[in-house]
Amino acid sequence: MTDGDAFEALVERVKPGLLQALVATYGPVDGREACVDALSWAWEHQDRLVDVEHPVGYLYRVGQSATRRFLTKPVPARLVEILETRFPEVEPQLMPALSRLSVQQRTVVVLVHGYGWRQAEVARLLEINPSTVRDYLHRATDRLRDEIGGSDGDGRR
Amino acid sequence: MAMDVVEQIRQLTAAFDEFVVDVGVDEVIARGEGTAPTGDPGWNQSRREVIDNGSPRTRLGLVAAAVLLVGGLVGALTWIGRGGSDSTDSTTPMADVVESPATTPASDGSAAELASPLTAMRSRLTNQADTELFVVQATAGSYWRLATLAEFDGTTWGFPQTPLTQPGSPIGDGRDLEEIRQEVRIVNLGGTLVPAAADVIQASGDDGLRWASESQTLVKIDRDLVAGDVFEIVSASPRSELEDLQAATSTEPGDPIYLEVPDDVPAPVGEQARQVTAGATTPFETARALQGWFQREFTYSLEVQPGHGNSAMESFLRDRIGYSEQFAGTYAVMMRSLGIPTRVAVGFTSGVDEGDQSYAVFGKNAHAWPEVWFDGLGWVPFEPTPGRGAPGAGN
Repeated sequence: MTDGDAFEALVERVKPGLLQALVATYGPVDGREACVDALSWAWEHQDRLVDVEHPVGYLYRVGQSATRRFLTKPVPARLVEILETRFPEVEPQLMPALSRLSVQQRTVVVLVHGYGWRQAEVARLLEINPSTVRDYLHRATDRLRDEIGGSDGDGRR
Repeated sequence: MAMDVVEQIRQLTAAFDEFVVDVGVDEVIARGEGTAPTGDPGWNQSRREVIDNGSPRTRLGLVAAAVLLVGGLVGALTWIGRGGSDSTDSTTPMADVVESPATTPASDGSAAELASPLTAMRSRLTNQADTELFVVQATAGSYWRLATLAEFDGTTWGFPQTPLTQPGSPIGDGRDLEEIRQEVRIVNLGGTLVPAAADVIQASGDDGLRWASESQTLVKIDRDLVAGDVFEIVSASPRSELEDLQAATSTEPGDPIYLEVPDDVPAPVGEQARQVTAGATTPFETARALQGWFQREFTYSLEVQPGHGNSAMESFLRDRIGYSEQFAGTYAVMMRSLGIPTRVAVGFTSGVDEGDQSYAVFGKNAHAWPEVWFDGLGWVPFEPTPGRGAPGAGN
């Protein structure tokens, strides 16, 4: 297998989870950028990844940057259009509310509720305890419910 | 009734999936070769250094080139210089240090610490309370500072995202400088930030040490701290006499960030600040009035939710109970809302005085405090957290 083939296989394996994780943390614009950056670093350092057990987690950390923030404004026009036409029930305040959560709480809540990750998978990504993930999930969801409204199905707010 | 938030999040991510253009291998390789632009110029810059140089020692080429190399030979001290025109160090933003992937991605702990040192402090206070973190041999006791944080975004205090303008005139000009010589020996302190008294003017240790002058942070860039690391540091700060403080104005900290608060800071924060300091006529009186109010009216406790963002501040001002994370963060936001440049410092109190000029510092000594700018005198620490004497002029 050539270098390029091996890398392509790696990207195939890693990208779906990595992209979701970074979009959960940084939103769809910076998250995608972070994913490309992290994968381009992986291209330069394929040797480093050989023995890594959990490459998604490793590359997730590579993609971290203190200068990235979860997207609030301006929301790209194309995303606004998608939301308004295809997903009109998403409150406009949801994205700002997500940006106000801590990085970890937001990552947990978007990966679990949005992308359907299991709590154990998120725990492995963030290298924290599953009980911490559960805690973040509940707190963040409660907080978002307070800020956005909407019931939890039992009529309670 | 609005759709439940869980379902809204699911739909939001579906919208993201439609919006986000898939990432292809060609694009990744093109960026790797430096032929495609990236949205994060700081990241790309340091990555270019990786491509150009490759060797571990120059991996953070941006940082190494820009920041005065500190020490190298044990025992050789390098003059770092102080802020202002005579300084030979350059103002490397911590944002560049933080965002460049180092020889290995920083451990989860050090990555978390660099993202928000104020938040990371809590685990030292709780999980490591009785663990000896480091020992300082010093000519005088002091708060040992890890970093200063200039940017508040409504959720966290952190390192500024863009380089800061330095103050125009050197601080402490013509004043007596109080010097503290330290030997810091690491025992159980993790992360990459080296504690030292304010303000560092000389430091030596090993090749991986860098000084980020605008955040006044001494940082290991090649690896995390390990037990046995020793750093020799000289710090100096102007001795501020009471009458100088009382007479000082507070208008020229250099960068406007020190007055910035996000638009969505809750109204009670500013209102409370004005109320408490209504009688003060000078910046120093204002700083002291606010400090005294917190010390008198609030209770210290670790049994509160961590956090120092907008909603945490509202709860804090209402319930009047918390620990230094909330005291320092809230004090700084309140001072900024009053138009007085203030920032948050994170580090440790002086620890246990073991005699013989030796201070043992434990997790429970982890601490945060505000620093207020006074023209001609620099950043002066205050102590709003109850139960502590003030570290400097506040006394």
